Amino acid sequence: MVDQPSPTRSGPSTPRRAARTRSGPPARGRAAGGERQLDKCAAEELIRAALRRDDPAACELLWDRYAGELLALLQAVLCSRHDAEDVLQTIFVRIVRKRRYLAAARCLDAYVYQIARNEAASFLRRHRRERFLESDAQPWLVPAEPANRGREAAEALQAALTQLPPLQREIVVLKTYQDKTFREIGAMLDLSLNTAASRYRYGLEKLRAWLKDLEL
Amino acid sequence: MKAADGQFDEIERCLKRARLAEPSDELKARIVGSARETWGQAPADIPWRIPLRHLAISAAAAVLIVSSANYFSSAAVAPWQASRPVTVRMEAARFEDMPEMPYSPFVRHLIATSGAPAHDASALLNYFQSVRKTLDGAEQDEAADGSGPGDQESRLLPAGAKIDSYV
Repeated sequence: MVDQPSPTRSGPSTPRRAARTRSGPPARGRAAGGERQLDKCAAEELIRAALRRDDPAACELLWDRYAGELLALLQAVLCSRHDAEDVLQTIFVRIVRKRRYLAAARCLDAYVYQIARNEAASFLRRHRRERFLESDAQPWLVPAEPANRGREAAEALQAALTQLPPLQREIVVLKTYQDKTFREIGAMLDLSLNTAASRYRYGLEKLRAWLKDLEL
Repeated sequence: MKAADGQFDEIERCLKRARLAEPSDELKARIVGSARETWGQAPADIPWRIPLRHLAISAAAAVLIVSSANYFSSAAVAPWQASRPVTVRMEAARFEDMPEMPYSPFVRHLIATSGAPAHDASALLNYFQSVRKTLDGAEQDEAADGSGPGDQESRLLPAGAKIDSYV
């Protein structure tokens, strides 16, 4: 078992912790980013150590490190919470099967995101036909404030985001809701920084045009 | 990089009115449980075994393809296959068949006699004698023109030498 530190505390990118690191004043933004990077490296080292020992506790470490980011990415790609959860499970099973590769990988993040992208693409290929026929009742975008009007806004935003081209939607979602930098998004999606930035801009332009009349 | 430079502030604020659904504890229990179960069941892929496995599969596939190609090829040509081995016999071309060749009489003679076997001494002697006759004929032609050597002299053999001494 992994003894130090506990898996629940090691994840740098759980939404709550990420929100805490982001909530400081602007002057502390760089410091918070550095701290986040440091946490990321520490978590990566812990995961590598557990994988080298062939310790099943690596599953929890992997969850704490990647679950939030991967679920966000999958929801952005698949536009369905239910499908995203299914694919997330497949990804974790695949990671466990390939754990020796993961332990030897030069960049842990790139390896995990590559598996996630492959699984999402494979899922879309398999379920292309059914996805057009049935709509997901479970929303993947929830209101930030629990007011009735907030729910309407979330539904409208989800509908608008769903209309975006997938390549733009992934970047808008990761940038807006995960507070990723374009560099991090580029690393996740295997894109250049400029490509990520321009796709984000195109996506926002379309969203602005669509949401203009909704008075959100 | 500052992507929006202020022009997208409004739409970004609008997007922030919603957030992504977070992974629930039930989902964590389900997925981590499934991953742990897989960890216990399946041995991890060992990296160096993978290329060896691919190599073995490729080699087996190649052997199968070549064997089946040979088999089907043999089966396809079997009806036309000869029952006994085919022999090919080549004969020397006959001089009469090549009347248009623009050679002199001596070369024509050499071509005509080249197919004759000359494995023993008598055959070789006959061959030389025939060559000598041809040459003599050529010399006589030249003597008649007045440009060649004397009647009893040869251009090829030294004076007084006999063809028998070479055999």
